[in-house]
Amino acid sequence: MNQLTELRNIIVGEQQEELILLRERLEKSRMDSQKLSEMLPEAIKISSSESGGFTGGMQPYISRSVFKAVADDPHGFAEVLFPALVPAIRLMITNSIRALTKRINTTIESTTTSQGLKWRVEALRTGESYSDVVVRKTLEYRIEQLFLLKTESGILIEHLVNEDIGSLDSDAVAAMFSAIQSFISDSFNSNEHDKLNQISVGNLNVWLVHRPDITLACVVRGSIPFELRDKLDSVQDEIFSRFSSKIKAFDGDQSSILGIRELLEPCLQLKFKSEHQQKNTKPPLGSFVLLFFIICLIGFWAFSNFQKVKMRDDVENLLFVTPGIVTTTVEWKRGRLRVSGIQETGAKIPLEKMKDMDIDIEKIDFSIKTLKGFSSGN
Amino acid sequence: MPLIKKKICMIGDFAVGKTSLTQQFINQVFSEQYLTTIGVKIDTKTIELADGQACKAVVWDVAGRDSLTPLQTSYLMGAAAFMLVVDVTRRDSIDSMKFLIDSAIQKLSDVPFIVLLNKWDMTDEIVFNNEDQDFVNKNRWQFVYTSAKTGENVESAFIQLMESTMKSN
Repeated sequence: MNQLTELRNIIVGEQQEELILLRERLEKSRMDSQKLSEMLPEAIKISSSESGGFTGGMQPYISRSVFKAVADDPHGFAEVLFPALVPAIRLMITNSIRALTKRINTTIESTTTSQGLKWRVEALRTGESYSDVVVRKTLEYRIEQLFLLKTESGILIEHLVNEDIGSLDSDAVAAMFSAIQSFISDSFNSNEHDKLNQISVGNLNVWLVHRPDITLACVVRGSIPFELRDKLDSVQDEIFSRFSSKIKAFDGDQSSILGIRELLEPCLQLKFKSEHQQKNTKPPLGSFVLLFFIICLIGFWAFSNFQKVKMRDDVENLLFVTPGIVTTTVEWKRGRLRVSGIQETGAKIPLEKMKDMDIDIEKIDFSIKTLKGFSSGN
Repeated sequence: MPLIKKKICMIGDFAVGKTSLTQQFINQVFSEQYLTTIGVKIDTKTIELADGQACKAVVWDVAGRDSLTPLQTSYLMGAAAFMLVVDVTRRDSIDSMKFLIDSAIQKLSDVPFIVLLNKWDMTDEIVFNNEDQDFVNKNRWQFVYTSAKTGENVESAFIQLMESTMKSN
């Protein structure tokens, strides 16, 4: 038996060793893959949460893969996305329509109510545009601008602003926030860890959320609820955790930190006052009475004017067809109809006919001269 | 090329021409009227450096120092560079150069700076002498003779300082 084993070793021993090595290698590779599959998710999680380097590194490859996949099979992609996209689109359209309806309602209400008139007067008085007054009166709050700046230098890292806010030197404004903090620290010998948290001017508030190295200044018109402050805090936390190393190394090149804008954009919010908060939006009874009175007054003036014109025309026409009478003027003066003219001897003013036509002859002053030998030609 | 923003602080004694130099640099204007700066005034201007790099200077015009008001160094925090403005017609302003530079360096450590020897157009009243010049040279401070009134060397001084900040990055 031993001889047989020896003989086998001599003939195929080398191949056998190679086979064993190959098997070991295969086994090891399988084990390694298994180990790697166990470690990989945890490694990705750590890399993403600590520096964001993994996300940055993978981004171009994933983007390229997605582009290629869409280009190769657009229909398949559409089918996959359809269930997710349709509800989102529907929700977006619903929200847009709701916002538009609300805006139209507000505009109609503000134009037709007594409050609308009051706002128009205020706009004229203050020189503000009417829409600005409406926005100011109907908004509960609006986050108009967000400045993310390096706390010490005041250099602006990111700036977001509502479209309808006028242009300004955002870099100078951001620096000023930092200067105000320094001014207060210097002037009042405050502790260097004490930070300026809020600046209020009338209806305008600036909220400052601090983290090491960065400050988020949030310009708000109106009164902002505390829930939103929590949201700003959490956004600041996220910015700080994701970009802390880049922020520390920031040297004034805004393009060196990308991705902050996307985090800040949802914070540019606005909220309208609820209906019960908007006082006197419904027209009071007094307004209706006043409006009715004005309409009656206009109606009465129009009717009496019409009556006067009709009476003057009737008298003028009647005298025109009366033989021997020629009128020079027929006009209303101080509430009386003055009729001037000339008449032949014997010609008579047709008073009876006037009465028959319901003409109030008490209101007429005749000033008709009699001329001998005059012929009117009628 | 991306726009790079740098904080530049103007420091110096009161009435040496810090605000006038800033206004000459930013708006190319000069006013004889003296209005003291309270706290700090901030302006910005974008300039192009020799290599084509666009830079935005955020200029902090810090209130002047006198015997009653010390230099407010907290405004210097985070500055990429500073400019010390000296009035060459006033002895006290020249004598305080060293103290002010030391104060700023203490706060900012190793940042570039430049000494602006201002009011150089008032030739009859200049008290800045060879001894002062030697002192500046001995300390190896960058310096430029400027006139906020005529605009002489104002823009070039800012560009020179911005170039230095870019090199020190």
